[in-house]
Amino acid sequence: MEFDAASPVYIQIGERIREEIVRGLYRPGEKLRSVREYAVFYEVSPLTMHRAMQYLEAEGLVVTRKGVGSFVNPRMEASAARRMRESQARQFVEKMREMGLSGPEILELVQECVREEAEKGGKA
Amino acid sequence: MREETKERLLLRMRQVSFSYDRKPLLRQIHLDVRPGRILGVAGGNGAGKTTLLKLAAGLLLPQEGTVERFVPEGLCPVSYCMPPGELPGWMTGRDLLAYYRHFFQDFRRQQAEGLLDSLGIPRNRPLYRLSSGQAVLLSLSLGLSRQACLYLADEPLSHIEPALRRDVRRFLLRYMPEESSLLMATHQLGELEYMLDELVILHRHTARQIETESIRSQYGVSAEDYFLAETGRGKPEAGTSGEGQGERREEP
Amino acid sequence: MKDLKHYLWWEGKRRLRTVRVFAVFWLAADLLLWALPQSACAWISRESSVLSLLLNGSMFLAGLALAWYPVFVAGASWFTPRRSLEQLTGVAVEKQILAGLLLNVPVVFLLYVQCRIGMGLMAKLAWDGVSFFQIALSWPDFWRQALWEQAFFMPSLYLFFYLLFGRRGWKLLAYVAALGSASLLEFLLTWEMALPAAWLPWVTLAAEALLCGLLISACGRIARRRGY
Repeated sequence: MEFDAASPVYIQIGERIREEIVRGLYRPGEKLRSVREYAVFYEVSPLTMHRAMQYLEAEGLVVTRKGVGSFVNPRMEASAARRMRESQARQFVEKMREMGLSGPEILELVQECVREEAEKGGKA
Repeated sequence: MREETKERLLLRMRQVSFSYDRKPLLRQIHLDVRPGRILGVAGGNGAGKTTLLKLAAGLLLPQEGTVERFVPEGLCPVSYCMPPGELPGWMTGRDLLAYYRHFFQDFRRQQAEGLLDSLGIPRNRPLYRLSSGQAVLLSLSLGLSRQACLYLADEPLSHIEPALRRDVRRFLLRYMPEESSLLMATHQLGELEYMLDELVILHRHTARQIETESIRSQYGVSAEDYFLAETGRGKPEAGTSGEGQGERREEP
Repeated sequence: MKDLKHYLWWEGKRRLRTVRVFAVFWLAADLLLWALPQSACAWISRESSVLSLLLNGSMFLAGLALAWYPVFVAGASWFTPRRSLEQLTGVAVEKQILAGLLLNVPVVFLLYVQCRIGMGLMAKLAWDGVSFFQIALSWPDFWRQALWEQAFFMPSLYLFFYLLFGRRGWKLLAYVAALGSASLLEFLLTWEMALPAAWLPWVTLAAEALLCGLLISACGRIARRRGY
């Protein structure tokens, strides 16, 4: 697994898991995988993985119950997810602007993509 | 980060010195091993990695200094995973399982058998007829099936083809018990980088112990680059004091 | 005691592997010679000196092994290479040495048996009533001399001097020192103490056993310091 040397590894992992949560891979209240499974998957030390979980807990995304495991915070605000999506969208728009697209062109591009997605049989 | 009011240690080396045939190898080494950590011992050829591991295991006695072990209830102090080259080549997997069961009270035979089966290592074949990858995994399976608080592995990834190295890394991560620590000698830091909590650099007869996360946050370079720079082998260090721009990738 | 038992088991297995090639070889040679009819043997000893030499030689190997194994192999070569796995077991070094010496005894015994068998078979190749294979196996008290002194006591002396000198190349010197010490002991007992002849073997045995115990513990101490 590739990581950036610039910031602590446990934060990078925490962010990846945060993304998964926000994207809906885990529902609120659902149990995350065990620390060991994550450590094996990301090929990092268990200590790093523990720190990542602590980070997520500090950020309010995760609740850890000793001896049982870590769970997605059931009281996680829906707004946290919304904020994440908004920031992703904003980043996308900025990038398209940098590439020289205008507002209407960006909208058209997005609609095109959504249509293709629907045609492929995926959810819009 | 969590502060522990009293640092619990598994192993403490203080001012340990060792010479071979009157040639000094290690001088005044300090080492602290805390529970639940993975440490990498890095150094060039002949820098004393194997010697350090053997001192930690108690296979060698220090000529100066002390090696203290703090062993929790019900565990044995150390399990040394022998490099396959030092295991008797004529023994089969079954022989080795019996050998370990005879001599080590803390050996869990069922677990070892289970590991060998899941790895697909034949138990009836003598060691010299196994591939180097299988031999290493056999040795690690035996070592990890002992209930110890400190596990030692001597360059487990060397002599393994790249495709299998990931399996060995994952194997170690999967079967290392909680609260136990792993001390690994290694040649190549690159692929182990994120698996290690701490790095012990052996250079010019001394040892420096440093957390890998500190290296990255303070110097902004990978642990491997830091090691190469510290031992005068490679690229110059990137700027100090957290200017973290990642590693420079210039060719020397 | 249990770890000594286990250690004997594994060291025995290891020795068995090294000698089994020879065992098979001699078994085959014995069977061959035993099966050959006397007329064929007479022909061989008359006509083919090469064949006669070969056959005699193959049996002679056993005699050679009997002379060489007890000290040079039994003495140290099972102990001195870096034996990390044995060290890891934590079995006391003295026990390891004791086990190693004990295992010399059956090997020497089997070599002796092979020599006896060889002598008997070589008589079939006798030419003009002279058999070329006549090892001076005149050990009237085989048990004491071959199995105790050659297999156990002398190797312990050799191991002691070998560890004492501490240099891998000084095997011959260690051998000479061992021989010298054994001779000195015999001299002391025979001449200085002027014992009646009937007592001599028993006193010698007792003295050697006592010395052996001291040697094993001394070897253990030296070995621990050297990191064996």
